[in-house]
Amino acid sequence: LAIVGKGDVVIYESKLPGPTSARNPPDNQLQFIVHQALDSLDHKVWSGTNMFMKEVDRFNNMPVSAFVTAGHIRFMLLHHVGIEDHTIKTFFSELYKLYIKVAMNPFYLKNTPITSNSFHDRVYSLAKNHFFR
Amino acid sequence: YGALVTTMIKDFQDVKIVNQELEKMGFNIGLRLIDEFLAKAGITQCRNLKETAHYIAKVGFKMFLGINAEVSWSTDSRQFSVEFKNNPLIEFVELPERFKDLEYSNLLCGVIRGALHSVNMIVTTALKRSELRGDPLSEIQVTLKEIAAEKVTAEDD
Repeated sequence: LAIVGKGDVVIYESKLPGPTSARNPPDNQLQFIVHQALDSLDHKVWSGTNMFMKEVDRFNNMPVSAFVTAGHIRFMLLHHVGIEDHTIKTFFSELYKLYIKVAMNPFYLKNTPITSNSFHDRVYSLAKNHFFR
Repeated sequence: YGALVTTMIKDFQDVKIVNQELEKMGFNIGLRLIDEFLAKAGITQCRNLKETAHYIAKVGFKMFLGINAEVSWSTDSRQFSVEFKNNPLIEFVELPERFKDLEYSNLLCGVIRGALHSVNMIVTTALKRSELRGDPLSEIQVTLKEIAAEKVTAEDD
């Protein structure tokens, strides 16, 4: 999962619980994959009014799904095939709520890295609940 | 309130100074707030410190912050604490490590001190515990220093 702010600055990234597999791309490629997907996302962003953009790009056989918030913060999720759109959509909606709570913190500066441990823990539990049944 | 505190930190740079300034601001608010409080609560005078403490915690906090507070007494009968949870001022706030000495809710300490000052009770207040710092509840300790005599102003002659 990567959360990208203005100027394509990654303000949060995390590996969410899921099946570990040899098919997973190596860590140093993950950022590159997400950034490439950002370009595809930018093309699609104004094509409709939905915040949930579904799949915007694919790397090898791994889709990148995206969600754009009202403030144009982008959530990018690189995942394996087979996860329902609906599950991803609810995950992103819940993530949006968590992001809003961080944004409401007067000590958090917009577009800076999210360092809150409680945010990290909550995202992790959220992912576990949604993707790791 | 959060924007105010963060702006003050930016302006003063020093957390200790911000704490003091918040208390001062609270004091000035309290000096005036007491009139609104007494008018709305419909009480005239407290007979003793116990009643004062009760009104602050049970009526004042409810009226202005919408929360219920408890009073706890120390062995010294001139000192009590107002304990509360779910302080609306700190909703969504997470204190960064570098500001761990910031007494974010210090404004409330000042308000209590200012309000009591207006009714001739000179007290000191201190934020003893804070939910922002990981404590289970927030606690403001109030210590009575003296009951000031009614000041007669020149116009009263």
